Amino acid sequence: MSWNPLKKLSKSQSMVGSQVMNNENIESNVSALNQAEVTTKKLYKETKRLNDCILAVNRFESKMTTDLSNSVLCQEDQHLRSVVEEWHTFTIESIKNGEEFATTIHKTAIEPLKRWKMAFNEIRNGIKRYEQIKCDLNKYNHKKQKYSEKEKTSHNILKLKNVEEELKNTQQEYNIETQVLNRDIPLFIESRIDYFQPSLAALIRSEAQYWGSNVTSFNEHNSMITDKKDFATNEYCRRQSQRLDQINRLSIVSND
Amino acid sequence: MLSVREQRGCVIMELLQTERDYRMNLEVCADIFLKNPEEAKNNGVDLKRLFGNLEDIIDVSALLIRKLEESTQMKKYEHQMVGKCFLDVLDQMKDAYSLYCKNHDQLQPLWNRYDGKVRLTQPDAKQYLARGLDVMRERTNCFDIPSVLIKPVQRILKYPLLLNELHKCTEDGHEDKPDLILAIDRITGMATRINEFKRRQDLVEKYRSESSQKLTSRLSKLNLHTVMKKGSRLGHRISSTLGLSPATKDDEFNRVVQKFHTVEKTIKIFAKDKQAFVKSVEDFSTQGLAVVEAVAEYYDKRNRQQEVEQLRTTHRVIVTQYWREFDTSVNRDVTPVLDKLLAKFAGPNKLIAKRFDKMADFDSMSKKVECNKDQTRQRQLQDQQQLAKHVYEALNTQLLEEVPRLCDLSLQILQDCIQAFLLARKQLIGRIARHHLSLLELPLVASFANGSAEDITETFQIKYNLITEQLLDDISILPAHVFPNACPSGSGSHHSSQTDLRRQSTRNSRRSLQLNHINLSVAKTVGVNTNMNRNVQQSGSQRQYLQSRYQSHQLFTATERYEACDLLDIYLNAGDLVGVLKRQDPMGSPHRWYVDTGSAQGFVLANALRPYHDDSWVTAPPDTTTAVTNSRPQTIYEKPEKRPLTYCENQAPVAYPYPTPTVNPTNPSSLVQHQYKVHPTPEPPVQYRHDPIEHHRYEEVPEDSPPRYSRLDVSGDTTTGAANSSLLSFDESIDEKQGLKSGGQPLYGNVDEFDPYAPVAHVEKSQTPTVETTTYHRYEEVPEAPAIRAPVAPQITDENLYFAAYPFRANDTNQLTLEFGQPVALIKDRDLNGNSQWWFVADKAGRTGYVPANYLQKYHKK
Repeated sequence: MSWNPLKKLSKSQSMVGSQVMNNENIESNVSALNQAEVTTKKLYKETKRLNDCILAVNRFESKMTTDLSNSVLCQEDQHLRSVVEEWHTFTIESIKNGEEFATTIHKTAIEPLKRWKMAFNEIRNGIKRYEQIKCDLNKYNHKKQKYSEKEKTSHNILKLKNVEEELKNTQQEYNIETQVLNRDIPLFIESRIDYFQPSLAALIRSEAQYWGSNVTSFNEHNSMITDKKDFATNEYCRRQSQRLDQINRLSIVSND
Repeated sequence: MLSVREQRGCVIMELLQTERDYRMNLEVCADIFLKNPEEAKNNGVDLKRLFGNLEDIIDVSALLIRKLEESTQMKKYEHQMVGKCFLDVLDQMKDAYSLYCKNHDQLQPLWNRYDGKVRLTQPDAKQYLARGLDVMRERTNCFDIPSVLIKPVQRILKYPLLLNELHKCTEDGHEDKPDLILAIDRITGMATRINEFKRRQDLVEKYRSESSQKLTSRLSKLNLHTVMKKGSRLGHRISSTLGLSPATKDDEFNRVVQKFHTVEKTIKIFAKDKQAFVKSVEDFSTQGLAVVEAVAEYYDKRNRQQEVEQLRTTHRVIVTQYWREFDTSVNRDVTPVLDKLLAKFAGPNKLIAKRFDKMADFDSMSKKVECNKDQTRQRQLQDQQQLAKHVYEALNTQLLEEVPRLCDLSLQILQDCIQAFLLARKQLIGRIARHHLSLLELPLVASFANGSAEDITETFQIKYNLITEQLLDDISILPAHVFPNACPSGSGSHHSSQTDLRRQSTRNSRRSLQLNHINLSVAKTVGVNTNMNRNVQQSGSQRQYLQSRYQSHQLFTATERYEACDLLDIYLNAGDLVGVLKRQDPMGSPHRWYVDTGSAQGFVLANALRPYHDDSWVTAPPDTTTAVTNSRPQTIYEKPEKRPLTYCENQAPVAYPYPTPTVNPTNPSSLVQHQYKVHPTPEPPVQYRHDPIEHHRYEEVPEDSPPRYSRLDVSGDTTTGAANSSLLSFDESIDEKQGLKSGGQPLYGNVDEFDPYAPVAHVEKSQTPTVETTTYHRYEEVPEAPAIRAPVAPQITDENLYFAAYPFRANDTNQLTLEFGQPVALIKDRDLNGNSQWWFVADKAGRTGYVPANYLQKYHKK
C-alpha cells in the first residue's frame, strides 16, 4: 500500500494541529477515493461484459438462422424457406443494430470509464507527491532540530539557516499540496457523476435505439410470422399435440 | 354320404348363417357403443380409435348377406352363384378390412389403458365399457370387448377357408366355378396382405424395442450366432462398399431415409441453437441489469437521480417480466414439443439400422446361394435366403410407408415451433422497446440526439469534451493527457500551457484565488451537484459587467437557486443576474435558456428566471423594494413575440389594449425594431427587411406549443395500452412506434447546428429576440392603414388622479419617470400580464408608461 501516505504519516511525531486535521481530511478523502475506484472498476467491468453479451446474442441468433437456412429442408420446403429467409434477413439487421449498440457503448461508456480509471492513477500520483513532500518536511524538521541542539558554531548556524530556509519552502509547498489535495480529491470524487452523465444518457439512448431498430426491422420482416390468428396458445398446443399423437400412432415409433 | 349338391347347399347355408351371426354381433356392439358418442366422450373413451371403421365392416357384411341371399335363396343348385357375390363386394371389403385391421393392430396399448392395466387408468372409461359389455352379454354370448373387436380380423381370414370348402363341393362345369376360383384367389391375397401387414408390424415392434438394453445384457446375449451374423454383415458391408459384391439398392428408400435424417438433424440443431440463443438473451438481460446496478452504485448518494432510478426499474422489469415471459413461452410452446418429437426419432432410427442389417443378411444369403455347389444344401440355403428377404422387405416396406409421414408431421411441428418462437421473440423486442421509449423523455436524455449511433456518439462526444475540459480546469492534479480530447479548439491555448504535469505557472495564481473558496465549496459540494462554478457568489464586478454587456431586456435574475441538472447547465443562486444569450436550448426547447453569469455561460431552466429590473438607486420604502423587484411589468418590450400575435390576430390596432409607448429617439437601437414589429410604419426601412431576425426565424418555437417530444409521450401511452391487450396487437403498437419514430426523427436533426464552443457568436444574433415565422409573414400582409397612432392624452379626472409619493426613474422606455409629487392619470391598474403592481399611467404631457403602483398615492380633494 505504497500509495497510502497515511501509514507513514500516522507514525510521524511532528504534526502540528492543523496538519493533523488536514491529514484526517486526506485520510477520509482517500478512503472515499478507494470506494469510488471500486465502483468505477465494477461499472467498467460490467459494461464490458454487457458488450460481450450483446455480441453473444448476435452470434447465437445468427447461428440459428444460418443453420436453418443451410438445412436441405429449407431448400425443399417453400414455406419454410420463405420464413427462414425473412428471419435471416431480420437477423442480419438485428446483428447490425447490436453491433452499433455495442460500438456506441464502447465509445460512450467503456472508453470514458477506462480514462476515468486512468484519472484515478493520476490522483494517486498526486497523493504520492504529497507523501514525498511530507517526508521532506519531516527530514528538514529533524535536521533543524539537530542543528539547533548543536553547539552554535558559525558553521552550524549557517546550516541551521539553510535548513530553516529549506523548511520554510517545503512547508509552503506542503501547505499548498495539502490544500490542493483536500480540495481536488472530493471534487474529483464528486465529478465522477457529472463525468458519467453523458455516458448514461448515451447508454439509455443507444439502448432505446437498439430495441427500437429491432422493432422496426422485425416489422419489416413481419411476414415471417405467417398466420397470426393460429397462434392463440390453446389452438397451437392442440395442433402440436395432435401431430405428436399421429406420430405416436405410427408403428415405427415406439410409444414408451 | 351327402351328395355333392347337398354338401354345397350346406356350405352355402353355413356361410350365410355365420355371416349373419357375425353381423349381428357387430351390430349389437355398434348399437351399444357407437349410438351414443357423447356419453363415450364424456367417459374418456375414444370410440374412433377403439372401434375404428366397425360400421363400414357392418355395411360390407350386410351387403354380402344381401347378395348371398339374392343369389342363393329360392334358386336352383345350378344358379346359386356365390363367387360373383364375393367378387362384387371385394373392393369394398378390401378397403374396409385393411383399414380395420390396421387400426386393430394398434389397439393393444389403448385397451390396456382403458382396462386399467397401465398407470394411466381411466376409471370412467373402464366402468363405461363394463356397463356396455353387460348389456351386450344379455343379447349375445360374447366374452369381452377385445373378443368382439377381433371378430372382423378372424372373419376375413376365414373367408378363404369357407370358399375353398365351397370350391371342393362345386362340380366342374358349374357356372359358379370360375368366379369362385377367382374369388378365392383374390380373397386369399387380401388375407395374406393383412397377415403380412400384421407380421411386419410384429417385426417392427420386435426390432424397435430391441437393443434398448444395456451393454452388459447385450454382451450376455452375445452368442456364436450373433457374432457370426454381425461378422458376416460387416464383411458384406465392406465388400459391397468396395464394389466387390452386389448389394441390393433401393433408391426410393435411400431418398426417404436421407430426408428423414435431414429432418432429424435440422430439428436437433434448431433445438440446440434455440437453447443457446435463449441463454444468451438471458445473459444479456441480466447483464443489462447488472450494469444498471453498477451505475446505481457508482452514483452512490445520487442514485436517486430519476434517470438512474428509471433505468433500474426498466431493467428490472425486463429481467423479471419480459425475459421471464419470453422464457416461459419458449419453454411452454417450443422446447417440450421439440424434445418430445426428438424422442420419437429413436424408433425409426433403430429400424433403419436394422433394415440395413437385414439387407446385408439377405445379400450375403443370396451370394451364398449363388456360390453354393452342394446340391444337398441348396434347399436349406434358399429357405434362409427367403426368410432374410421377408424380414428385409417387411422392414423396408414399413419404413417406406411411415417415414415420409413422420417427416411431414415433424416438419409441420418444426414450422409451428419456429412460428411460436418468432412470436415470443417479437413480443420480447416489442415490450422492451416500448419500455425504453418512456426513458427517452427523461430530462437528461431528452436533450440527447435521437437517431443513428453516430448521432448519439457525436452528441456524447460534445458533452463529454465539455465535461472533461471542465474537469481539467477544476481539478488541478489531473494532467491534460488523461483526457486528450478535452482540449477544445476555442480554448486550446488556455490549456496548452497546462499540459505540463504540474501546470505550476498558471496554477499558483489561480490556486490562491480558489483556495478562498475551498472550505466552503468543498463542504457544500459533497453530495451536491458539482456542475460548473457552483455556489460562487456573483461578484459586484460581474454584475456590472453583465449590465454593461447586455441590454436590459436580456437581463434576468434568478428567482430561486438553480441546481444544474444537465451538462452545460450552470448553477445559479437566487438573485444572481444573468444575461440571456439565447432563449432556447440546442434542441429548440424554449424551456432552457443559454445564459451568461459573468463568470460562466450555460443553460438554466427559463422558469427559474425573471426579467431583471435595476432599482437599486431608488430610495423606496423597504417593503416595496422586494415587491417591485419581484414584479417587473411584462412589457411589450420583453415579450416582443407576443405582441405582433395579438395585433395580427385582431387585425386592428384598436383592439390593442394599451397605448403604445412612444419611440424614444435617444435609444434607437434594437428597440426601434421591436416597435416596428408592433406598429409597422408604412415603409419599413430597407435594412429592416434584412434584419438578423430573419436568420433566426427557424429557431422560434411558439410559446404555447407543447415541447416537441411530448408527442412521444402521448404515443407511448397509447402503445402501452394497446400492446398489453393481446399478442396480436403488438403489430399495431409497432406500427405506432414506427410512425412516431419517423415523425420524431427530424426533431433531433438539428443537433449539429449547435456549437457549444461558440456561444459568443450567438450574442449578436440573440440580442434580437426571435420572431415567429408565421407572425413575420402576417406582418407583411398588414395593410398600411394602422400606421402610427399618436399618443392620446388621457383625460385626467378626480377618479384617476394620482401623484407620485416617491421619485421614480424609468429604467426603460416602457416606464415613466416620476418626480416627487408629480400628478398622473391612471390608465390601467395592471400591466399586460395582469400584474397589479405595475400601473400604466399618463402624465400631463400625454407621455405614458409603467410605474410601480406603490409609488403612487391617490389624490384626495381636501
